[in-house]
Amino acid sequence: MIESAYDILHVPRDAGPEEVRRAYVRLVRRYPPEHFPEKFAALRRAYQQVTLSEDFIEEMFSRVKEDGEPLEMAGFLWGDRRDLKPEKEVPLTELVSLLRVKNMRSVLDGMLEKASAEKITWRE
Amino acid sequence: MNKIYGIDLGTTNSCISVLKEGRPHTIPVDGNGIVPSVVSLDGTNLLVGRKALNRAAAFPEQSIRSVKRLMGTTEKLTLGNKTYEPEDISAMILRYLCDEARKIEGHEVENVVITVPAYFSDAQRRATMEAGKRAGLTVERIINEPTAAALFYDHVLASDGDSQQVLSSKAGEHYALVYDLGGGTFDVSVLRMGEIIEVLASTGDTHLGGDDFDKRIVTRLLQEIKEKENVDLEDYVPALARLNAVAERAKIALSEKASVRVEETRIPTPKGKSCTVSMEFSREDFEAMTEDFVARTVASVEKAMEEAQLTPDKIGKVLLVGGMTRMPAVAARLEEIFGGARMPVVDPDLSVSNGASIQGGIISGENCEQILVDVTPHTLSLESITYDFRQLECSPIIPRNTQIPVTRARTFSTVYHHQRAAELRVYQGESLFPKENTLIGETSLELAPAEAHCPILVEYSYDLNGIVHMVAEQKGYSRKTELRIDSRNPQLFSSQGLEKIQEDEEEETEESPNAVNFVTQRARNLLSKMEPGAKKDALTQSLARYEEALMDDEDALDEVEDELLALIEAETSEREQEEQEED
Repeated sequence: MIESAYDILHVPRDAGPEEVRRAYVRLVRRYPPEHFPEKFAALRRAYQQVTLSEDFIEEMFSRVKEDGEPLEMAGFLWGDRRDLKPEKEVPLTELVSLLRVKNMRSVLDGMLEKASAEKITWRE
Repeated sequence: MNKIYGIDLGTTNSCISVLKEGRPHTIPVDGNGIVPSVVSLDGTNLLVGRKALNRAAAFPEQSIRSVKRLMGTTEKLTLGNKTYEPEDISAMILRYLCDEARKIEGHEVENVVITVPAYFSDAQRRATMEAGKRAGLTVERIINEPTAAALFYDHVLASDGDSQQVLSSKAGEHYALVYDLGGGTFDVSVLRMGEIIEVLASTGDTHLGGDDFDKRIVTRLLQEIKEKENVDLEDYVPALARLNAVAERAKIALSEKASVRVEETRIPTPKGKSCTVSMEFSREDFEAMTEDFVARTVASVEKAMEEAQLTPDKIGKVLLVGGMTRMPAVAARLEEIFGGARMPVVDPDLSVSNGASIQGGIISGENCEQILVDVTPHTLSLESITYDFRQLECSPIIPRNTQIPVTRARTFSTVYHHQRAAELRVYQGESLFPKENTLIGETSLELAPAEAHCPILVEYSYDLNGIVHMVAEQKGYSRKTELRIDSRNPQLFSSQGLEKIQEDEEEETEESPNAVNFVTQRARNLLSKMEPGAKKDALTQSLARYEEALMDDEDALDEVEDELLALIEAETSEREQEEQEED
């Protein structure tokens, strides 16, 4: 799951933006959204993960350091209103993309462990 | 598969096109193919198109124009002693286009792609789909007008632009901006064009177009009549229809000439006596009158650029679409931003329907070379309550300008212990506040007894037709509900229980049958162009193995498919290189 973005695009982990873009375009031509909606969605997801900017990753990491966990405030369902506290939510794309930066690895491993134990949930 | 026709169902004019040997052709309905979107009642006969337009000037109360502006509303329209919905009137226009096309082409027109402004809402798209259905047509796809125009432009570049231009554009990717100012709607889209065409941002105004420009002239004429003749014609339909027609002619003339004289005699008045108006309009006057409209379009252009995260110097081409772009002030304003050199000549009237026919070819598999990726024009969100209980907010699940098809999920949680149900309301729009957005569907999820903060996963899917599909699930309790907001199904709010969903899931196959069609179609297209030889034999064999795998060997399918696609790609790129060398 974690390695998949690079595998899906068939590019090495140190691929530059141009190489990633070329690989993505070639694969979208092969699997156009018109005829391969699911394959296309997987390609796009992978492309977005791989091309997240370094600034974005930096910012995510600073949030990780401050809060211990990246926290995306999830809304609540309209219903009766009594005691509540925020649900922890981490977008999966962000989780996976964070793994690109080596020195942040240990923090993230911890987070992934929690995620797999369903202590926090994620969204796509 | 039947031929799929492309239809531009416009506010003032409509067109129908079809692909012939890979090239789009506009079918010359009503002479030049530009069919006025007007319906008029003559005795018991309904007229559509040019004949209706001619009648409309004399009998405005028996005619309907600009019905597109009412699509998605529940307004009723009266013709003679019958009332119609906007969908019915649009259906008449569609039916007329298809009947006339059949007479010219000699075969039945059943399958169509219809274009809508990119900024059309879910309800407006649904109404357009319904109009197609009422016209007895199979609507294969609703696509966005600026996207269609870009498809057509890309096709022109690829097929008969000069080779240098083609090479430079194909080698690298470039950005294009489509500025589409039509009779009633305004759209702007930013695209990345190259080997694939991707829409990056799309915005606009569904109530701004040529009609509004006309109205400014009409207002001046009414003032003049009031001063000179002392009659107020503001609410008198027969006079307004006359003045509207005059104003439109004046506006068009002002695109060519520096000034125009409006002379209209025998304008009907409510008192029976007719009146006259005579006024001189200069181009400057008109531009001053309509400056605010142009400024509004420029604001949208800037917004689209910002959303695409681009600066004007990055835009390689600016495509002008829609009759209003003939107005010199519009072109001048865009030149200020982008410079004139980057505005290629495209036919502002026909490029949308031609582009729709190309999309038809993409769907049927006839056109395998252009790959299009479009976006959602509006944000889709779920109503939720803030932590402090102060207010209801819309929590976005699929933000606008997300490429489609897309499936996104977000986890929400229940508020209190043993909550019985959760109400799920799906909104479309950019505001944080539900009341400022459009409610497009609602359902409720019956919950199993659980602690507070029990996670509920809400998943939205947005498919290529712009149909929204929601699934909500109580995590760990397998309670599930589903809501299909389907533009092909007029039953707006429908929810289904779990059993029904499972039935549906069994019926639906994972990948569409089209996927299969596409690969084999691509192979066959290529085979038909190849000379006999070893390569052709290899491809034929690979295709045979693929078709065999499709029939009974699912395990091997992926592998065989990859092999076939690799052969196709190798051959295609070889052919492209040869073509380039010939040039």
